[in-house]
Amino acid sequence: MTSFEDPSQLHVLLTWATADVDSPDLPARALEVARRRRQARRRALLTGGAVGSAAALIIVAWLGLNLSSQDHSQIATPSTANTSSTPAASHPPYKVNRFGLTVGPVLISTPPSEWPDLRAIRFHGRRGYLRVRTSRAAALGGSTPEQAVAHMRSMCRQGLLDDQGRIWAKVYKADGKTVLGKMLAGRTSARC
Amino acid sequence: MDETGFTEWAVAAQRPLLRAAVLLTGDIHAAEDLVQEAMVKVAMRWSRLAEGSPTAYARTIMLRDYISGWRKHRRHAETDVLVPAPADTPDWDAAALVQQALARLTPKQRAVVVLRHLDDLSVREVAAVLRIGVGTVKSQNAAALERLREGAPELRDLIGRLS
Repeated sequence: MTSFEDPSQLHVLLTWATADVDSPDLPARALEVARRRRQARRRALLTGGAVGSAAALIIVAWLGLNLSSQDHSQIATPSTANTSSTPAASHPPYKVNRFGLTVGPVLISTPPSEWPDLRAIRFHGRRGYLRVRTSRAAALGGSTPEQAVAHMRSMCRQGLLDDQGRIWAKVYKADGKTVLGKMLAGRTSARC
Repeated sequence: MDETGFTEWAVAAQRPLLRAAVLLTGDIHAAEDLVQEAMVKVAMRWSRLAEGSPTAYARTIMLRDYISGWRKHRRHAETDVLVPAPADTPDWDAAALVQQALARLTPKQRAVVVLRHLDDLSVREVAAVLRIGVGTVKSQNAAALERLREGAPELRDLIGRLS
């Protein structure tokens, strides 16, 4: 007899193969993300859509912030990670990976001082990480025109801004040091 | 929002949804992402869904996200191939065998197999979830079983061990 003449055999096989799959903290994480999204929507309504400003767009693109259906993907972290204690109201619990770096989503409602070290992304079909604070500093440039020009030159030297105005972000392994490659993070009118 | 009601539902639904997601993606992290996003969407609409069928809604969201996510990343599909199974699966090699067998299927075939043979949905229900015709479900299911039969004979041994 071939394997699947009786469909119940396949049911048994699929059930058995996933017998130990479990993630008990998923409901709490989902609830927390839903709360954040509701807060972000309310805030966006109240502020008249401040996210629409060009500066915000650049920062959002740079950090890979995504308020649509993808921000959930940043919550999932390696199963070896531990949960860190975090302030209750400002962001979902971050994980601490085996290199001691916090990994989690970067929500628009979370103050920069509470951002995680790394944000997980999908990079060429694999998991990669953006260094959140480095990316933010790079996106903001400087507070004076001179600092902004110096910052732009520095980005050109590092290959993070090209002659077509494309901004690139380095993607790291979980250690936050080993560079996997670069991803397109946004565009600007500046050119190298 | 009735958070207690949502949590009660989510705790009960988490494992069945996660099982399906693991079989679809072959990756526990991607599976958690899929399930979490579906749960978030359920939570956002809980007042309307509580009296209905939140699990069916979550399953539909999950399957559609999976298919659309695959379309979006299809150019990297060759690097996505499965899996490690979860490290604490009791019989890792055997679980990996199942995942590798499923990896031989197209994403839509995998979705049909999971809905039909893990979740036990009818052909009509599968068609509604995936927004495809009943005939397509039948043909995809037949093609998937044929591919598993031809391409993954090792599953026969596993079934023998389980029965």
